[in-house]
Amino acid sequence: MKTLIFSEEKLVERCLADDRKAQATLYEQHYADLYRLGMRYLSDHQDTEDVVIQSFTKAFKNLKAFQFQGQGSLGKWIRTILIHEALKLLQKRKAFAFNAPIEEVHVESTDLNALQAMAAQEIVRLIERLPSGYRTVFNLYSIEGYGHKEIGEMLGISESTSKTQLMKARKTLMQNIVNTSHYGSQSI
Amino acid sequence: MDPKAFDQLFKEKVGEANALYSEEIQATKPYAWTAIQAELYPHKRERKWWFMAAACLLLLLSFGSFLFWQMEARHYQSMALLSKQFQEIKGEKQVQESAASTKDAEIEAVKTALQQLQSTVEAQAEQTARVQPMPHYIVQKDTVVVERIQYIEKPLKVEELTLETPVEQTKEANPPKYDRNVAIFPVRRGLLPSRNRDKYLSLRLAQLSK
Repeated sequence: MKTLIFSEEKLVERCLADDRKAQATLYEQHYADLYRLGMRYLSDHQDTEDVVIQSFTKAFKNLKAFQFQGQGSLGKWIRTILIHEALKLLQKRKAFAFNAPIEEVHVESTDLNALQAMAAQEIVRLIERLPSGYRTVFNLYSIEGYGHKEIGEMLGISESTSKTQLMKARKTLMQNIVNTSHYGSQSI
Repeated sequence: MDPKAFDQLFKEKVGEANALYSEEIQATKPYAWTAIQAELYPHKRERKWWFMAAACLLLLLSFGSFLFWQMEARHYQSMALLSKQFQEIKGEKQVQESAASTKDAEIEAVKTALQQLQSTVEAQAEQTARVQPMPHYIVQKDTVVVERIQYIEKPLKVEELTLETPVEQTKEANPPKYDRNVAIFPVRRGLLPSRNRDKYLSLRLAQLSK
């Protein structure tokens, strides 16, 4: 697949003009990031692939609505689309169990050094192993930077539920980090 | 542990995980692109139908044109053949005409020769006629016999005349002896009817005897 070297703004213009090469370039630039992002939310390759396809399709169809706000804004816009699509899929599958009783997680004290010592891939896999509710809220809040109010609106839950989910997600991650550091990376 | 620092560290780690799922990404990329294109341009299949229809129409037109061209070509071929045959016939006609003109010339020559011969013969005949009389046959038509009675006064003899007898009486007593003669113009014996001939001959004899 041939790619063109353009600025984001120019690329958007070309994509709006139905330029297939520009579309391919945009796809090439963002596919891998979106795939990894989708995996963090969905933890399934097939679902991720579907969501990525839907997200790109939606992005190309609604590119007129995109407002360029500097370099990187297009990537953020597409990421937002993917997150919304992923959440939609999770809600459709009723993957969230926010009302379920939260398990008590016993967290041993852990320090940041142990976390820093872990490889990035291990960290990501830890996130992916979280329950869908924890994982989603953690991703939205800690990684993407959404507030609890926004998360509540997005997931149809209250702010407190979002906070609780985040807290539990952190605790579970900590526990998993401790377990990993105790038993080595092979346990992941 | 500070949750914010924890989150920040996670965020950094996630950002570093660029090599994650690289195999899957590379494997699914072309398929995903195809799927996206299919989603973006679903009317492509419809277009295919249109293209097929256009192609069929074009094919039909081409076939029609080819047929038309072939018909035209056949027509021109037959025209060329006819022209060739016409030329051949024309050539033959010219040959025949030249032959006929030759024959005509020959005939003219023969005619001239014949005329010359005829004039020669005529001249010779003329010369011959001067020397030797040519047999001359005259055809005579049937003679018309006209019979008329002609009264010829017979002069009386002196002794027969008497003075006592008045002239009137004499005429009454002795009527003039008129010979009943027959003038026959022209007479051909052979052509007279037998009755007339006998009568003629008897009259003639009588006349001669007198």
